[in-house]
Amino acid sequence: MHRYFHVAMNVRLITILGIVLFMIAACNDDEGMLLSYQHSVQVGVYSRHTGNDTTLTEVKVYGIGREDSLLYDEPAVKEFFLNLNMHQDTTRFAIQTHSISDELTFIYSRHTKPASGSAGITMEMKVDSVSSAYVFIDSVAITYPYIKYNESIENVQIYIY
Amino acid sequence: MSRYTYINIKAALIALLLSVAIDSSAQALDGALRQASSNSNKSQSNGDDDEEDKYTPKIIVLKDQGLSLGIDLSPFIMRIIKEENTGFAFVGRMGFKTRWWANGEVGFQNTKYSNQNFKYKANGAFIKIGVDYDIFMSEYFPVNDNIFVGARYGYSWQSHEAKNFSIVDSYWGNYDGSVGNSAVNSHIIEILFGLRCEVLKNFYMGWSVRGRFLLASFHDSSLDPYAIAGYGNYDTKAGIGFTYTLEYQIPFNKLKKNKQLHRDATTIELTNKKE
Repeated sequence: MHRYFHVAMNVRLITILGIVLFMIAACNDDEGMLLSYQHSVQVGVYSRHTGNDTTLTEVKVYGIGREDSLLYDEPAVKEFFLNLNMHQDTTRFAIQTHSISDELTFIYSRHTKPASGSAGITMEMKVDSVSSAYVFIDSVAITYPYIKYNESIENVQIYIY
Repeated sequence: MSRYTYINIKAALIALLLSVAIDSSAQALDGALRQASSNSNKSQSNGDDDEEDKYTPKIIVLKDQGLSLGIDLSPFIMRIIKEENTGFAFVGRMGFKTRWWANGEVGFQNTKYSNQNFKYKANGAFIKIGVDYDIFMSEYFPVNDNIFVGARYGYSWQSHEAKNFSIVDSYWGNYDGSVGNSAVNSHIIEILFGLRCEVLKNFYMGWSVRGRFLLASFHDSSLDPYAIAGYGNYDTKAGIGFTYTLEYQIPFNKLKKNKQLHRDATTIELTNKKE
């Protein structure tokens, strides 16, 4: 009798505990902290010779078609955040270093997605291919093709001479 | 007072009320059990203790296994946190054999939220079927509490739309769009662990924690769903879910069960006397 009694009471206590834990878990499900509106591709700069990350100096970057507006005008850059054009499936960027110019072309697919909290509708993209004019860029590689809301992961690596 | 402090206080109050309600029921049951235990001891007090232990019949007491109908309150609780989601679900279960239960769930979930840059709306429903296995069987005393492990298959369908949204891009220009009504169909698998206890005669309360897996989801527009009815966040292919159910069990097999118990007890008693 006592053995049963303890088991039965334990079932009830665990039921209560479960409900309380449920409340706590629900209260901690806080998705209101998302902050970013990013829909830009993250590009890292690497040395063709060593394979390690490196720095481009005297850099200017702009989107082809938006020559009037520079995305970067910096003395030294190790990585870029390049806004892909949400109105089309291809975006080209010009990258200048010491007046030598190269190009990066991104081809991607895109779809809209509701995000939680105040972010509203976001645009998510998948980079299908990247190419270059290969002037000072030796090669390019896609390391993570997805550009998602509130993620910060390097998408593309460019290897320079 | 911040929004999250307010939410926590609300949740704590609900938890407290539930705890008090369950505790009262548990205390009532406690009293009944003690009374029953006392009566049992009195009836056997003339015998020798060793003899009593020797001839104590060891039987597994069958549980009530009628048809249970109830509601899942977890969508209401989750609404405290995610105000954009509204939903409810009906649950039903039917016992078969001694430990097995067949289960069905039908629910609805609507999502609606907006601000100056967007307006999103989704209306969905889901159906789930599966089985539970009761791993808790008591000795000596009739008890209808359950500890379940089980599985569900679920199918979810919904329509959704996003109207007049604008995605900010200061470089290439804002993206303004509108996506009309489109359908989303999804297949879900769940494995669960849960408890259910009889808090009043034939009234049950229980919870379950569920591992949820999104087998497949299909939608026919460029708009991904925000959430899938009966599953949760579309982004995650696996997740954890909860249910909190209140059920009434129609005890239509009780007579049959009592006859069985009586026959078993009589048989054991006769066996003991022969020994």
